[in-house]
Amino acid sequence: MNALLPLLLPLLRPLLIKLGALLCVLALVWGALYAVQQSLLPDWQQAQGQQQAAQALLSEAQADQIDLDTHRRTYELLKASGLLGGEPRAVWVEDLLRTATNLGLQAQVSFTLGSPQAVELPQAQAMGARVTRHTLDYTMTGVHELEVLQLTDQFMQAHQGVARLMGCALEQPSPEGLGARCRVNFLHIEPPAVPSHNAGN
Amino acid sequence: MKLRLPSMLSAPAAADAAATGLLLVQPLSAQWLSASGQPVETPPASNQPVRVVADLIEETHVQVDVPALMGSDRTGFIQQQIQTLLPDVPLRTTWQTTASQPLLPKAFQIHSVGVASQALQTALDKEVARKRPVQGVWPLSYLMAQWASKQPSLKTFEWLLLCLSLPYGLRMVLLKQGVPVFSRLLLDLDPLQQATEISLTLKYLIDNRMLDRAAKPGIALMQPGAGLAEALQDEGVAVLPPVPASSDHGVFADVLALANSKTPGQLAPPPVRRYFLARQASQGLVVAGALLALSGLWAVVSQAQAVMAQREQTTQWLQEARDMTQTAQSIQQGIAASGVDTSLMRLAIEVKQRELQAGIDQQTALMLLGQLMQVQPQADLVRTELALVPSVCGGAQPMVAAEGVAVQPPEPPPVPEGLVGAEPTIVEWRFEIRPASTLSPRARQQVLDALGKAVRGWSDWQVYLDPVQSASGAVIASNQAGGGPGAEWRWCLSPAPPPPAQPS
Repeated sequence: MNALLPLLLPLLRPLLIKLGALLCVLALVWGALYAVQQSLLPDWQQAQGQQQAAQALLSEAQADQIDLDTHRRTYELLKASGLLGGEPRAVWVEDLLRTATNLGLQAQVSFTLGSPQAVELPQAQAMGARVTRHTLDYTMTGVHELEVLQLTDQFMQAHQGVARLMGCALEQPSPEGLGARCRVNFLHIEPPAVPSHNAGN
Repeated sequence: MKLRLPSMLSAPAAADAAATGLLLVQPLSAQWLSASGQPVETPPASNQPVRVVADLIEETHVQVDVPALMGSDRTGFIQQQIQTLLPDVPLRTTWQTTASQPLLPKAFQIHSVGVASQALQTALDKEVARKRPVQGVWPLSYLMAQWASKQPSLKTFEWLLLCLSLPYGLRMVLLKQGVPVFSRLLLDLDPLQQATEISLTLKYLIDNRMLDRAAKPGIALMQPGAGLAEALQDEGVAVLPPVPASSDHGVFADVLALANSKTPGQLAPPPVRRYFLARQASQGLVVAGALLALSGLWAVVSQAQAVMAQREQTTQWLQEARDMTQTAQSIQQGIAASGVDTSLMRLAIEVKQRELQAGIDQQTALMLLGQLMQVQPQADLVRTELALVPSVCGGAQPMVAAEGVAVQPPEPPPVPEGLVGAEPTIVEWRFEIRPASTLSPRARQQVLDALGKAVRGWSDWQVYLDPVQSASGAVIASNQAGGGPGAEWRWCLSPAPPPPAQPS
C-alpha cells in the first residue's frame, strides 16, 4: 500500500481535494450552527430558570389553595377556640372555676397551671411564631364520679380545639366521696409580630 | 450474438469481464477482441478498463526450490531466485500465491513465469500513454491452466499437455499436477505440422527430462482445428476426449473470460495498472466520500434542528413561565382576598395534629367499671386512672389470650412527619379493686376469677397486668384481708389494636 500511494496520489488528488472541500464546507456549516446554539444557550438557560421558578411559584400557590380548601373550616374553629393570639391563661383557669361554681364544686376544686413549655416546630421557627404547651392540673376532693365527669366534660367542651385531656385518676373512695386528679394540656400559638404578606386575620 | 458467460465465473467477475475491453497480444499483432474472443474493429473508449492477454513466444517458465525458511528470509530468497532465473524480465508472476505457501519453515517449490517481449511492452506503454485503465496482464498459458483446473475430467492427470488451436497457431502448455511448467507457441496453422510439432515437443520434454519417460501425459485438444486430432492419431499420439465449451463461443472465449481480477497470475506491475488502480480507488473514495458527506449532512441537519428546537423551547418556556406566574398570582390574590394566612393556618393544623388529638375517654372506662363492680358486691373499686403515656403499663407485655396466642402490644399511632417529639398518645388504664375483708380465701379466688374473666371479656381493651395470673402462684397470707401485700388487685389495660383486615 505504501508503494502504491506515491503512484496513485497524483491521480486521486483532484477527487481528494473535492471531497476535502465538501467535508470542510459541511464542517464549517456545522460549526456555525454550533456557535449559534452556544450563543443561544444563556437565553435558553434563563428561560428554563424562569419556567422552573414560575412552576415552583404555581405549585406553592396551588398547595396554598388546596390547604385553604381542605383546612379552612378546621382553622376557623381553631381560631375561634383561641388557639392563636391573645393571652388566654387567665381565661382557662377562670373557666375552670366558673364550671366548678356552676356545678357547686368550687370548694372542692384546686388547680395548678404550669409555666408554658415551648413546642419546637420548624414551621413555627421559620415564620417566627411561638407555640407553647400549658399543663393544667386540677384536683377535686370529696366528689362523686359523676361530678368529676361533668366538670371535665363541660370544661373540655368549652375549650375544644385547644385543650387535650391527658389523664384522670379517681382514688381514695370514702363515704364522703372520692378524690380526683386530672391533667389537661392547653396549646397556644403566638403569631409572628410582623404579619406575613397575606395576613389579614 | 449475445455472449453467454461461462458458469464457472462468479457474477461480479463476469460483469467485470463483460464491462472491460480485451487486448490479445500475440507475436504477429496486438488485437482487440470482444468478450466472445472475436476481433473487433474499433478499440474501446480510452477511459474503459482493458484486460491484456499475452500469448508470446518470449515466455519462460522457471521453478524455484525454496528451502525451509520463514518470513523475510523466505521472501528475499524467492525474489532473488526469480531475479536470477528471469533477469531483465519486467513482467513476471508466480503460479502459487503467498497465501498458499506453508506457514511453518518447510521446503517447497514455486513456479514462476516471465514474459520479456518488446511487442507486449510497446502495447502496454501505448495504452498507459492513453491513460487507459489496464486491469492486468495475464499469460494465455496460465489462463489455459486455470481453465483445465476447472474441468473435472482433466483434474486427475498428473501430467497433462494442453493444446489450444488459435487463429495464428497452436499454444501448448504442460501441466504437472495442474501447475504449468512448460509452454510453447507454434506459429503454424497446418494440422499435420502441428501434430508433428506436438510429437516433437513431447520427445523434447522427455529428452530434457522435464517429462518422465514412463509418464503417459494426457493430451487435451482445446478447441482443435480441423484435422489435428486425426493427424495426431496418425502420429501415434493418444488424445483425450474433447471437453465441451461452457459457452456458445467456444473454449477460447471461456479461457479469455478467465482473465479477470479473481484469477491469479497477473503479470503487470502497479505502474502499468496505475490508472485502473486509481479508478478503483476513486470509486471507493466516491462511495466513502458520499457516506461521509451524507453523515456530515445529517450532522448539519441535526444541528440545525437542535438550534431550532432550542429556540422554540426558549419561547415555549417563557410563555409557560408567563402563564404560570399569572395563574399563581391569580391564586395568591384569591387567597389574600380570603383573609387567611396560609402559613399560620398550616402551623395551626400541624399543632392540632401533633398535640390536640383526642384525649382519654373517661366516661366509657367508668361505665365499664360500674358494670363490673355491680355484679361483684364483695369487692370495692379503690383507684382508677386513665392517662396518655409514652409506654403502656411500664413496658409490660400483653397477657396471653385464651387461645394461647400472644397479642402484640399496641403501637402508637403513626406520627406525621415532623411531629417527632410530640406528647405521648398511648392510652393506659390502671385500676385497683379490693375484695371484702370477710371473704374466705376460696371466695376471694372466686371473686378474682370472676373479675378477671369479665375484664378479659372487654373486647376493646387489651390486658397487660392481670392479678388473676399473678395470684395463682402468689403467697396466701392471713393478713391479706387487711392492707398487706396482695390486698388489692391491680389491672393495667390499653385499647386493643384493631383486628386485622380479613383477606377477601
